[in-house]
Amino acid sequence: METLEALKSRVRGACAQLGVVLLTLGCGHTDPFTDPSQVSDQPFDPSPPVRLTLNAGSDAEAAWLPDGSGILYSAAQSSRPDADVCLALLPPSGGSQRQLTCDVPGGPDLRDGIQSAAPSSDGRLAFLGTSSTLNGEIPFLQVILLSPSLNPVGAAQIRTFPYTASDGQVHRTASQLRWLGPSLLVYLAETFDARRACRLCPLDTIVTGLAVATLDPGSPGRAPTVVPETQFASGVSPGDTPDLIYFTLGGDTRVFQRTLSSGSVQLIYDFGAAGIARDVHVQGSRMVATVGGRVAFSNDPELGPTQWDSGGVVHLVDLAGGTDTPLPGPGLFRRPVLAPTSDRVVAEGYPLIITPRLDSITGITVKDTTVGRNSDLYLFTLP
Amino acid sequence: MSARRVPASTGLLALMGLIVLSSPLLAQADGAVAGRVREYGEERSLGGAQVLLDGVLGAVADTAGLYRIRGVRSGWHRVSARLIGYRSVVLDSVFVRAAATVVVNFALQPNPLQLEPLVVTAPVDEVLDPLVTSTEQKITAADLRDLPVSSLEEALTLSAGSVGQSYRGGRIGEESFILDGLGVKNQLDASSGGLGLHIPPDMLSEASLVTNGFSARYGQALSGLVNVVTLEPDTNWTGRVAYETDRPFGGELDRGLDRVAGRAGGPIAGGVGLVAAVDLTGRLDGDPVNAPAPDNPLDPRVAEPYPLPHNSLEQWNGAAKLVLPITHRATVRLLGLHSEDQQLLYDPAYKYDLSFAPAQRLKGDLFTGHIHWSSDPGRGAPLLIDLRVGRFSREFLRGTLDREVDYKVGAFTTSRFHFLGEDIARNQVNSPDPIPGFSEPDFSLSTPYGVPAVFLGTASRGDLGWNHFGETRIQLDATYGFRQVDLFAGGDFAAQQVRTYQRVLAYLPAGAGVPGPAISAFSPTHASAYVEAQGRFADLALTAGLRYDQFDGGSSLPTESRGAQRNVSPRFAASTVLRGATVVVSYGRFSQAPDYQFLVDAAFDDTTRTGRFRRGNADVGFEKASQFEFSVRRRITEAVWMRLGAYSKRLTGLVASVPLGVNPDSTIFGNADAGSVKGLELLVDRELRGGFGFRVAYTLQKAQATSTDPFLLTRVTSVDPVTGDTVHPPRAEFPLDFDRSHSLTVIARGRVPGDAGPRFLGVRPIGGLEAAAIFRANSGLPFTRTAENGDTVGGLPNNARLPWTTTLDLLVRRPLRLGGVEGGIYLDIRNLLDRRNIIAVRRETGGPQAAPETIDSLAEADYQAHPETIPYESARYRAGADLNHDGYLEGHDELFPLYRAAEADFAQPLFTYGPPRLARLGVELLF
Repeated sequence: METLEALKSRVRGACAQLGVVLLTLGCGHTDPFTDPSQVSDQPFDPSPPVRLTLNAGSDAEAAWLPDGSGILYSAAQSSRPDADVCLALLPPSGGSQRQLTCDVPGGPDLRDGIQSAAPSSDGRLAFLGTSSTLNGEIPFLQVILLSPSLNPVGAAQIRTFPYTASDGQVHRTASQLRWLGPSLLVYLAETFDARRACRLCPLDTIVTGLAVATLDPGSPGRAPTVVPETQFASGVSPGDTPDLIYFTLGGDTRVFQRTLSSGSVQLIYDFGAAGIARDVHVQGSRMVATVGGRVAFSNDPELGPTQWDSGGVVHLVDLAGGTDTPLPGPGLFRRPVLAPTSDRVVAEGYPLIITPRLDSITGITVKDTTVGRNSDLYLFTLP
Repeated sequence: MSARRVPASTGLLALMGLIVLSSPLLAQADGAVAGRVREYGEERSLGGAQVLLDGVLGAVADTAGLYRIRGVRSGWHRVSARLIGYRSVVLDSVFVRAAATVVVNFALQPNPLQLEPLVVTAPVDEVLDPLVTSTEQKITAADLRDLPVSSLEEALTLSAGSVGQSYRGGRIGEESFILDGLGVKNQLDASSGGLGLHIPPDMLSEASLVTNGFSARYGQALSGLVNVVTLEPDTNWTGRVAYETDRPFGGELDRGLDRVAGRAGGPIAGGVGLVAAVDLTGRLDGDPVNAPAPDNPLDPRVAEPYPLPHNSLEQWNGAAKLVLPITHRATVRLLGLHSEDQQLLYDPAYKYDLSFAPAQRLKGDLFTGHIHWSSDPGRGAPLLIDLRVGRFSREFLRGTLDREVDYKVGAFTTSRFHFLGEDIARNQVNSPDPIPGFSEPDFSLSTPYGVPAVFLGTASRGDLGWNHFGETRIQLDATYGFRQVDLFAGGDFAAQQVRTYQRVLAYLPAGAGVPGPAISAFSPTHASAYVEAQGRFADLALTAGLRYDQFDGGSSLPTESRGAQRNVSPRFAASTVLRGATVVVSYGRFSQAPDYQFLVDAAFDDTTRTGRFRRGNADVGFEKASQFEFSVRRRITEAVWMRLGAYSKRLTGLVASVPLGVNPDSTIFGNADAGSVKGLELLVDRELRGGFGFRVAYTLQKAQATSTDPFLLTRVTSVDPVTGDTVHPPRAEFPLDFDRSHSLTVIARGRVPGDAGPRFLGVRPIGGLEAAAIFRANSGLPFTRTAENGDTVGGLPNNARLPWTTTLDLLVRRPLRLGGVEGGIYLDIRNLLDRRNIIAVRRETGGPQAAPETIDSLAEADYQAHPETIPYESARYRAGADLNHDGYLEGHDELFPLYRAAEADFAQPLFTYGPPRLARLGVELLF
């Protein structure tokens, strides 16, 4: 019988040679085919301001990812049977959507909406979710949800609407949801009414701001806090610190800054003759806001003081120097948002629709200008 | 023990008394050595001569000089005969095959002087042995090494009458697997799921396929038996290590193969021996096809047609065997076998989102213990007793992986796949809730066509399937030698466990049209007993046996269960030698318990538009067959022998879908199918002599039945619109799925002498070269031709035939000595001529390609379903299709070509073609 040592020796010899063989044949395998990328990082037309979306439905409520690597927005999918408003993600310079998530929060049998997306710096996503029946016109569910990632599926509810705020107002919905530091959300608390201008006219939803509110997402049961002196607010933006917010008020041309801890309020800028300021957003030393345009502030018999807003001009203000630069573009704009690097702005653009009409009295053809109901996103590159 | 102390009848009764209920598979891992001892040059028989097997007394010749050693392990043995006053004769290298008797006759010379034994090479001829009554086709370890085959399963396909794993026209799963004498079968879903065990080829001593006339020892099979005998530890430590790959070939010949096989075995201490083997195989393209590359420039396969992605296979097989001799007459053998297959399954619907395509894992474990005891051959009639116990378990999982696969080397991940919902399935959680991790799939955004059609992405289909089958079996076999008659008796009992879980649309809650989890858990039992006698009277051998089987489904539906099913199967065989040829006539009735999957409800994908649901039936009984065979074996020359056999098999009670009403979904599994298989087999074999050998196997066969598949509903009941009567169509027989009319397999082997050929640098390059080639030509299998709308084109199922297929495989081996270690290098090429064999077709065209009209029609339907405009920023936008460059894909002119291209891409044939030319380079080292 062979000794164990002799056997070991032979095994070692065999293994050594096998190792040589393995090295000799150690070239890599042929790779299978891979799918070439079908997406683009370039916009359809790079002419400024860059039109980022060409969707038949409305694209609205854009928000930059905290690292500036993309733009989240709400994309109305009019071709879907359920006509959901989905959450989309675009590259920072435009191109193809990288993400399109629908059916949240309700599912395929409901008309859902993901609105006012607010990505946090630690990767969470807060948003307003709405659901109505497929034939319904008023959402039966409006809720602020929080997801641990940028995927809104499976997000947890942290605040349902409507609720009665501490000042007695009933907050029915929200917009401009943003993070005020890692543990506090700030938003524009709003009310709305849906009505028709005529019997056969489509239902129109009038939304107007009531106040600025903050919400602690870590305490889902806790009531939101109304920020004092923000009644009829029309815009809110986080400041450089979690203690600082900027806001605008209905019918007002000014932008204010408030320190939450002390309650002190400062006038930051007054657009004056340029018109009513709203939709303020501040990033570093730059501020953007929608100013002027087709906007009115009046008393509505149902809603009370109401700001009617079809869009305006985006203004860029250098807070350090106090200079105001209107950003020209086609049509009217709403809700401009500065990139984290402050060098770009995304805003909702509403086309002006010019319709020739024969004046029956004068016999002269005149042009009626109306504002389109569906918005697309535009990208402004700042100097 | 002796015949005097225990009369034969008493012994038999005692044995029968040991058999309580009985079981199916009693396999034979052993053979026998028998013959006559006479005086050299005389006809005088030498009664009392001792015959030794491997130096141990095996038998004592009777007064007629006849002897018989039973229970001899398969393999090479040294047989000798001795008698005082005679010179011993030693027959070296007698190869004993499982279940076969080797005839070894001795002629002893008177030897008053104590001369050294005369050692001769054994001239053994089993071809003419009339005691071999079964139709067996053997595969030895040498075959597996020398032929271009890589596994036992591949080697078995070389047998006459086999079509893949269908034997003699039967369905898949009509065979039984016998490992070292112990029956193993996946009783849950053998017809669709496979055994789940793969024996490392290095662990094989020999295997055989028995297709008819098998002994009453065998049950649980209608079409064939696969009898496998594993290697015994050698008296010295020996081993083998081999590595083979297709890496060096590159391009389309590189399908990502890496295979490592190894074996080591030898004595440990005190006569205890160990042998263990592993076989690890990884393939990035685990199911390679020879489909043409697409001509659509947008298709990424244009540049890299192969290997297919998400099509990998990782297989791990390991076995170990421990042999512990207790005494000279009793030996214990312990065997452990573990197999694990992990596969990524290429799904054309997920071509552009591969990570959501399905995957599966199949794991099988077998542990057996075997005690063999034989009586003292010097004392009366011999008695052999084998007690075997075994535990077989098999687990199958199919679904969606919970993470991307991380390949370490080639296709080896070195870790186990994990599936979404795996724990829920294994724990059989009966919850209507969606399974966490699943989400609803949508049309892919990643295709070159963009449009929402055909291709899926974003999530898997939401399917999850799991099943577990376990079996604990105890088996007792006894062989009693009484003069020229061998008596066999035995039985077995198996306790089985079946657990299944199936969920579809797992991303949705159950209810409202979404089925909940389908769960079953029951514990059947199975038992059998047999008795058989085999005797030889001069050149006439007779075998008669009787087998009893019973099973109890242990259904969880007590109101439907009628208890145990029972069946008795007689077997007869007679053989004799006439004019130098051995003639065998055999008849047998065979039965097998149905797959337990037919006891529970089944939901499945069905392309026959006849419904997708079958009700389980706890009363399903045995599937049965009666077989008659006539065969002639003859040695044509010293090196060439042939066997010609004709057989007729009648199948009854096969499980089929039985209509209950006019609704195609109102069907239940039942023993409703009947059919017949008739065939002729011709086998011509030239042993490897003078450097050349060959084997030709030809089968002519016709297999018909009233159904081809348990799930196929061919007799759709209807209601007469005039009378309102329910109309049951007549039962008609049509070709079975595996009805291959002609199959021809030619195996040729050659060996160049070591000193042949010119010498270069001290080496003879062609000296010692070995080559083996396998040529296969098979007529096409049947398929059902339909019209474009899916209707059968006036006729029964399987009314058309696929074209013939041919392949030529080649293996060339050059023995080498590397640094004092023996070894070799070999090149193994399958489908050498790269023939593009068509193994499936589209039913509506009869060819692999879809008709252009079909694609247009599908594309138009897709467009009508989704005519919506696609804006530029959509991930579905494709600039090349934007004819007016306005940033929108809009209207029929722009969208329809994309839908058509998507449909054409999806319809391109892949798995309708057989394997392409495959090559592997191997290196082996022997120590």
